[in-house]
Amino acid sequence: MSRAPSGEAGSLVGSESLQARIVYVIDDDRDVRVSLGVLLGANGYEARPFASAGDFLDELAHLRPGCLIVDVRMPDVDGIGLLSEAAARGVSWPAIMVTGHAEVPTAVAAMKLGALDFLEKPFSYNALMTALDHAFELLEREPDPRLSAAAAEKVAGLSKRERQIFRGILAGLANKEMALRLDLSHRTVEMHRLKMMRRLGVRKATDLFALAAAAGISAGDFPGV
Amino acid sequence: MPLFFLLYVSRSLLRLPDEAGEVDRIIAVARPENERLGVTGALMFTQAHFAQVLEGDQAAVETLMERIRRDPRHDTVTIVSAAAREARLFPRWSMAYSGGSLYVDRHVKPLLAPAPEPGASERLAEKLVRLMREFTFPEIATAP
Repeated sequence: MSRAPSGEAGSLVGSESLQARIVYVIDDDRDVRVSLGVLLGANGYEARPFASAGDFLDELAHLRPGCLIVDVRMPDVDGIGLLSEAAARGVSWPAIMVTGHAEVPTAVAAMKLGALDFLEKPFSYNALMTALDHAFELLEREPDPRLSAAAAEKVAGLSKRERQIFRGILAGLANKEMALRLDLSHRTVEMHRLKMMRRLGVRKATDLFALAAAAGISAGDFPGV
Repeated sequence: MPLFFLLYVSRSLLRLPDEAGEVDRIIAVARPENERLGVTGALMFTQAHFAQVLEGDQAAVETLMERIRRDPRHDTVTIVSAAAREARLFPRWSMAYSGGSLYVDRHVKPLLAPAPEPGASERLAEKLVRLMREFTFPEIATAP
């Protein structure tokens, strides 16, 4: 699979990653993977098929946040096992469980693991689309904890001065204003700004804002803001 | 003392982000109060709706229900069933579910609307109570 180097904050929290709505389809039945892929593609989702829970879990660390459509009954690791393993790894993306045998205890086990929905096959097009709408609403509301941790770690690596400049940019200040308020030369602010951006691995101010949002940082304590 | 069973559903007026905190407060108040009154049952919160079973002495359940009805955190309070029962379905009071599951909400939401046909709401209520029991005591509900 192709993926951006994990060291690049831009690829982690850039606006691009928030736009493609990825749906991971984990089902051992090839026909289901193919037909769901067609249906999802036609509705503007990017479907990523996996033939087993193991295949999905192997890739999980490198996957971007998305919604899961998980078959409950699969050989080896089943759908419930997949949910509990993903949860153990700190991944709680919205999951829609699908099954040919809707049994209440299984549904309850899935709900206890945070599953969003539990659909009995053959499920209606509307039921699936409703669940996906909810799923992406949730996903876009909640920052991914893994991204937050990665972003916070990067910010923690900044010097005190670089962090001030970071907050100044978040507060919407130009270099000139920051220089004035921090009692530094314009050139020194520029230098710190460049070093800070490089250290965070971002090129544009918009990437900086996305990273700040992921790390939970606000303009906060910039002097005079 | 005869045992009285009551199931109601309602529409939540709670909104994010203080939703979870409010639900915690509801539980913190309800648990000791219900225990004091000898009332058992289960509460479910689906982010859109509430469902609750209360069982115990009829007067205690009805007093509690009157107070619950006036709670500003919900509206469209609909009593789905209220009747004497032989035995408790829930040996204690507990939070059966709190979350955003659409599956769980599908068990609650239809009970807020007028029943489409005779007997429909009884069947839906039975399904909901079965789900609540499954959440609270899987070992009992799965027994044949």
